[in-house]
Amino acid sequence: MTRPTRRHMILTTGAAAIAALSGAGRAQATPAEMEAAIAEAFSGTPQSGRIRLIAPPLAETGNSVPIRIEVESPMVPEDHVTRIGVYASENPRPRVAMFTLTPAMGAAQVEFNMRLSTGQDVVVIAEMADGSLFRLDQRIIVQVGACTTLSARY
Amino acid sequence: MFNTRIRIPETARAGEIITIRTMIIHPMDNGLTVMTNGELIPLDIITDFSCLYRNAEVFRVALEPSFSANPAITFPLRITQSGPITLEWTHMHEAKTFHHAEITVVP
Repeated sequence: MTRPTRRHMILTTGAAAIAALSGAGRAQATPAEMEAAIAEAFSGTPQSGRIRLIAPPLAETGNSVPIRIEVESPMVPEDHVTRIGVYASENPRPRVAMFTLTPAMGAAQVEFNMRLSTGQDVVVIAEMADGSLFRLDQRIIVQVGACTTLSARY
Repeated sequence: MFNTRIRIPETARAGEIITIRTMIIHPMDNGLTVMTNGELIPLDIITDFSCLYRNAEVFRVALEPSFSANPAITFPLRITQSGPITLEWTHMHEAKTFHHAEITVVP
C-alpha cells in the first residue's frame, strides 16, 4: 500500500476545492424559482400576519440554523393550520420542508434546523382549514454559508 | 436503522400539551458536496417524518435537502388518553426507522 504523499494531498484537496466552488456557483435558485415552488404547493393569494418566525438574526454557520415557527390558531377541527411550507429564496433548492398539522397537536408550533447557503429571505406559508393562506418573509443573515463551510468531506 | 435521540415525557395530565423533541443521526447528503478526491457524494436524505398517537397520524413532515444534517424536529402534542406514540422516519435508500413510546395520563 502506498501512503499518499504531501504533494498528492495538496493536489487532490485543491482539485476538490475548485470542484466545490464551481458546484456552489452553479447551484443556486432564484426568488422566481421559489415563487414557482410555492405556487406548485399552495393556490391562492396569501395575506400577511398570524405567523411568527423565531431565528437568530445573525447565524454563525449556515449548516444548521435553528428555526421556530409559531402560527396563531386555536387548533380546533373547524379552525386549524393544515400545512406550513418553508422556502429559502437563494438555496440550491428552494423547498426546505412541508409540515402537515392536525388539530390533535393542540398548538401550531414547529422547531427544526435548516441549511442556508447565504444570507437570504426565508418564506413561511401557512394554510388554514378554510383554505386561507398567510405568508411571512424574513431575512436571516448568515456569516458563513452552508455551501462554503462543508463543501468537501475528508 | 439510524440512531435517534428522543425526548417524550412518560406521564401527562389529560388535556396537557406536551413537547416532543426528536433527532435522528443522519448526514442528509444534499448531492452537492464532494469528497477530497473530487467525487460527488450522491443525494441521500430522509424524505418523511411522521408521528402517530394512538394509531392516528397527528403530524407529518416532508423533508428536503435544505434540511440540516441530523434533522431535529420539535413539535407539540395534546394528550387526551394513555396510549402509544410512534415516530417514523422514511429514508431514501434504506428501511424505515421507528421509535415507540408509551404515555400515561395521570390525574
